[in-house]
Amino acid sequence: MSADKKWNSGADAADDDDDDGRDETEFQAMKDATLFAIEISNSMIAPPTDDDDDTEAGSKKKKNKKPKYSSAEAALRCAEAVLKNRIISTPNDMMGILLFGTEQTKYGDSGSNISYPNCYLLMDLDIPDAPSIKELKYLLDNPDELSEILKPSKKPASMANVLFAANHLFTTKAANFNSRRLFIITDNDNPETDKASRSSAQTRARDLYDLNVRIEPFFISTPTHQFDKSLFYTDILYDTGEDTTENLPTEEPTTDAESRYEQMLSAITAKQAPRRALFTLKMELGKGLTIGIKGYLLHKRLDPSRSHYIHEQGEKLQIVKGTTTRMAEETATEVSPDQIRKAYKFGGETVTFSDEDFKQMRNFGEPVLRILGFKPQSELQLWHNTRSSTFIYPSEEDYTGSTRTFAALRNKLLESKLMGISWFIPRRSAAPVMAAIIPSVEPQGMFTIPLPYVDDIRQNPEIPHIVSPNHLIDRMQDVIRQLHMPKGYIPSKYPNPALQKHYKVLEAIALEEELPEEFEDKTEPKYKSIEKYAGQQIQEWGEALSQAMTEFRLSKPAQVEVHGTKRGREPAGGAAAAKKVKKDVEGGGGGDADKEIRAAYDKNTLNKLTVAVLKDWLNSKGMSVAGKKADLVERIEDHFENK
Amino acid sequence: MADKQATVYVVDLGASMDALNTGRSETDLEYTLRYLWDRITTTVSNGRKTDTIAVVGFRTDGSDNGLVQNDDNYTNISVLNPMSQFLMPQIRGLKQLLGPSATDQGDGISALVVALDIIEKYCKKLKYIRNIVLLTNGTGSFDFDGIGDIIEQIKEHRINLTVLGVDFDDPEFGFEERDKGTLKAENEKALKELCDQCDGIFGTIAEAIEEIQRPRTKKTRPVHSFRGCLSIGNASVNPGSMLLIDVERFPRTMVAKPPTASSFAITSERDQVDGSLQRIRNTRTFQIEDEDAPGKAIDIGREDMAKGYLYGRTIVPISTEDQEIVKFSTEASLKIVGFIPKSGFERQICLSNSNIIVGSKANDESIMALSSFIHALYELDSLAIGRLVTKVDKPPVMVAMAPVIEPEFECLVEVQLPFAEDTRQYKFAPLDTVRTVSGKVLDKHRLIPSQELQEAMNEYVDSMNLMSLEGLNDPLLPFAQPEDMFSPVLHRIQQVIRARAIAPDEDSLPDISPVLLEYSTIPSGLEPEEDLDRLKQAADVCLIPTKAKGKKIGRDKPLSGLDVGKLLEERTKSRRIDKNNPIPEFRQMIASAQETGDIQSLVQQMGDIIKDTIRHSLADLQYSKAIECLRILRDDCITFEAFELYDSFIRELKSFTEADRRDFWSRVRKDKLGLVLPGEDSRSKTTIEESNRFYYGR
Repeated sequence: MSADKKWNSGADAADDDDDDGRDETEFQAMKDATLFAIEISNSMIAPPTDDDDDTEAGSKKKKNKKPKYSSAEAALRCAEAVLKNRIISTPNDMMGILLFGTEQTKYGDSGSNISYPNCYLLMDLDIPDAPSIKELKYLLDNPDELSEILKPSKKPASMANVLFAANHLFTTKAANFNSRRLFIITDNDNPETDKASRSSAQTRARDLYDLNVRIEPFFISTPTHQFDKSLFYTDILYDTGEDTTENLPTEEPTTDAESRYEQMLSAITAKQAPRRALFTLKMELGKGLTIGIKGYLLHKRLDPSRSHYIHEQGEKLQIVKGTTTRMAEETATEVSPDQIRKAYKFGGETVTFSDEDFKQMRNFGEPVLRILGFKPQSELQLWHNTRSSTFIYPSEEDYTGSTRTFAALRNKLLESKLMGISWFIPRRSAAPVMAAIIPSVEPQGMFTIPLPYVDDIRQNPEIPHIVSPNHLIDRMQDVIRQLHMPKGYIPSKYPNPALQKHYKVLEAIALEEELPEEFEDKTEPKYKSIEKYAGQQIQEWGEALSQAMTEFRLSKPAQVEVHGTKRGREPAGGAAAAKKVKKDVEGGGGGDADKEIRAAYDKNTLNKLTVAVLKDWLNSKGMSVAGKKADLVERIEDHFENK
Repeated sequence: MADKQATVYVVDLGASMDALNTGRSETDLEYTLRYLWDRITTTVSNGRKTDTIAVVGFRTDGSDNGLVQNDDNYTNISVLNPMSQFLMPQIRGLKQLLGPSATDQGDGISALVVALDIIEKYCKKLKYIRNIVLLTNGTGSFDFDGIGDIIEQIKEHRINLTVLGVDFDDPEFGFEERDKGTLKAENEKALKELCDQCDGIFGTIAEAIEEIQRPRTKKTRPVHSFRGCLSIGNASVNPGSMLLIDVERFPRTMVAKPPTASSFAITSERDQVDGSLQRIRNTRTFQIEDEDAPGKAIDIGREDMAKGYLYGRTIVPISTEDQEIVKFSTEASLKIVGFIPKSGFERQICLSNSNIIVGSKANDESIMALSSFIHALYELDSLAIGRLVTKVDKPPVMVAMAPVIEPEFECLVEVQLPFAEDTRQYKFAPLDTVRTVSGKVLDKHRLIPSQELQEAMNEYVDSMNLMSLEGLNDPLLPFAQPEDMFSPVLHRIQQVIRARAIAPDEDSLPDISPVLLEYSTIPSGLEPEEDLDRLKQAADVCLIPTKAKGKKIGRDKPLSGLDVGKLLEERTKSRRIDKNNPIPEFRQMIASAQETGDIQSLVQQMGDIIKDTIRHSLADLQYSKAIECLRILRDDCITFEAFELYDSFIRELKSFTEADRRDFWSRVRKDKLGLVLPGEDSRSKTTIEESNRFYYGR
């Protein structure tokens, strides 16, 4: 919602929507705090060893080579990448960076009475701000200053201390966070050898577990040394019960020095977003056979952050807090929550219900995902879609045996290409939906796809039925074959250009950098390859179309004239539009309508045209048709003035 | 916008309508009114000014119509409601008038003429949908003299005539009344003939009432959401080889929302009694923090505000004039990015409602061009991937398009796809293998289905095949086809509102109409019992009792299985909680506590730490920390069946905050950390009212 909308909210906020079927606010309120703990030691800051073929290939290859980083620097760069990503995807989450084993010691300025020797808090655990990002960037751009900080201490830091430092940060900075995670990045598989310090590290790890802090390790192996987590780490890692299996998180041992950064980045990015369940639910496979599942939202449109009102006059910039007061219209007195009644407008008056009735009328029984039966997957049409799907995965929390039963169902659906049809109430008093349940290969699990009801289906518009002749279809097939993408649609290849621009500009302003001049838009078609592979075929199709149209007109001469609109003006787009294969594109078609509007503009008689004509013309230009007639006229005048 | 509509309901109110017939517990009139009220309230709920209704009663005690003055053929006919938009006052007014009369005098055909007269005067020659609905039990007088003229008139004005009778025979519906009186039989016959001659509908009320059980779907006129060119290639590369087709886009699915409730206020005692409500207006005030101001905030005016965005915690001011630089400029377009095989398409990534794309309707060439595109996609079993901008400067979206070819209609169906940022990379353990701590990969495990389970599942799924079943609402459709399923919430809320509108004094809600629950349970046409029993045995799913879950605290071990409890013994023995590490130590100690006295002391210590934290908090800086301790304290007290200790502490804490830490108490209230309720521990006697009083009271 833009700030402008907020201005007007007073007028229509009374008509608040009580339930849109899917309450995501709760879901988003779960906040995450992630602390990077990066070990600093001689091996961690050692420059990566060059492999043989690199030295041979010499300078020729050098330009294309990705820069190489020490493990510690690679870890920091990962942290930076994650940081920037989170600002976009989860702007309210916290992050911090703690180095341990450093010669220098720095731990906040809170004057705490406990000290953490050889721990260096590079970035305090908080919602990131521009100065801290700038500082991190500056360090990464200035190797000398960075190596000053990354100087290892003579004696490694005590793990117990490191874990207690994390404990302190999480309890003071991120109290009440649902998700708290400690990412430990290290190549040292046996940090504490003497018994007493081992025990105290184990105790401190246990404390973190009781605080609901989850430790996510990223272990670095080298060609000469395979990281052995059983030496120390299995004593401090717990099965958090989040996975239904006893699996350790599958960390990829990073061996190849060259791609260490990429590997680390992909491992960390995969863990970057804490898994947040949308719901915990019963899945009913048949009468008396219920298993436990959890639902996750894996695909959801991410929009640019909304604007805020700010106050610039004070000493520092501040976000303005808006509070809404409800006033009774007649008496202009404030209304307290217990005076508010919900009512429906009906027949010019209101129909009231008690809170009890209000809840009751939406109640269709307990939340459940109930399978009614199965159909072939081919029955699910592309248009059977109303919103995003939900991923479901078994949970042993409430029912043991859920996982194996769920897995057996998934196997069967995959094998026989079936889908489940289900009655689906995701949470208490949510609107029931009918959903298709389809198995998923990766990630392993299933998806529920909400189906439309008959009430949700719109009529088809009336358009003349003209079927293309076969030879024209053949020409189009040639075009399509040439532009075939056999791998299908891969979302990660298409970053959202509007979102990226939004945040690049904000980043540049916040970090006081120069505004980037050009934005790469990966969603634009690759015109050069289209021309190269299909240019010829498109031309041939265009010729075939002209020919087909000539034949069509000859066979049905009358029909062509029939579809004028009832007002007898030239329809927007113009009958000649499809011929633009040969013509200049500029102008966008609708020649006559253009002339009419232009003439009216010149004579200042736009006002005399009907709203329909104005709207059609605006539409043909892709401009907004919102507002009153005066607005439309003004918009058209603006258009010509700026031309 | 739908067409204007005028409907006259002609209702038989004769004394004979007050009789009970055919074993019904309702009188003929009550039975008839069920239908009438449903129709009227449906019209009212549409809220359209141009959908007007008039109601004419015949066999009424009085005579009140425009024709009776000059012609006494029109006695005992009353216009109960002139042609107008129906609102609540009309409903109330009509309710008063719709009772059985004391007479059986009054002619039904004359009433029809009165209805014709009303329509003619109201609609004149304008464009209207004209309807007359006659409701009767057919036992009164129907004078068919001069019916020819009336038929002519009905035809001339294109009036849709519907005649519905109580216990009229209808072989198609399968109803025939026994011992029908001769008069009624004659009337039925003549009325049927009348309907046949002017293309009207003739039926029995029972059928109509059955019909109204079925929810009505509202038709929305298709409105295009995009007009522009579907393009392949770009003129800047080679204008000769750019493919352009004029297209329009319309919604195919759009979730129909139930009516939304608005908030109103009861502002006085009087309102409370007569139920009148006041409109609410929202006013917004804007504040910024100010340390020196009372309440630590000051109001500011709109003129002192600017616009900005947040980048992390940092505020980035961007003035309205500068908005341009964050905007991503686009032009309305639908550009083809490429084509993908349909087979590998991951159906689950579709994000939005679906739309259809058709050739521009005034342009035959576009329609033919798009037809070649649709057929080619279909024959190659492919989908098109495109980049769509619906309006100038709207952000682009990626879409998938699939061909649809029906006998008289062709289009592309389009659904939005996610961008890179829209996909969350959560990790889930595989379901077909289990990896142990030592890294071994197993394919036999309690989490992996055994062969027996798999076979039982296969057979169960096969026995639940829905393909042979017909639609539960329309047998011509397949089972669970979207066209056969009604939105339960939408129709339920409409049903409830309409029922309450005509019976405002009713206390309870009507039952959910069974048609809305058709698809809520396994269809009766399937018989999977045997296979289900086998599956249940093989799956062996067990519910874990709630109590067992709580007891787990303190027993967990790290992956290596190391006995941490032993390590902790040293610490737990001391029974002193370190204020620098309160939560873990409290949890560890309470888990190992043997006696109630120990727990009491731990709760005491934790309480002191919480109060200390609040006391030393600079403003509200440490509140979150204290709240977290409080939550753990509460949760664990409940788990270890010591909720009384928590209750007494929270009472103490309330008085502690009353001095100058009231703001902390509001946090307690917000996080619902007050007295333990019976739902949390069955031994608690605290009622909701008590709990609320405790939260809000002084």
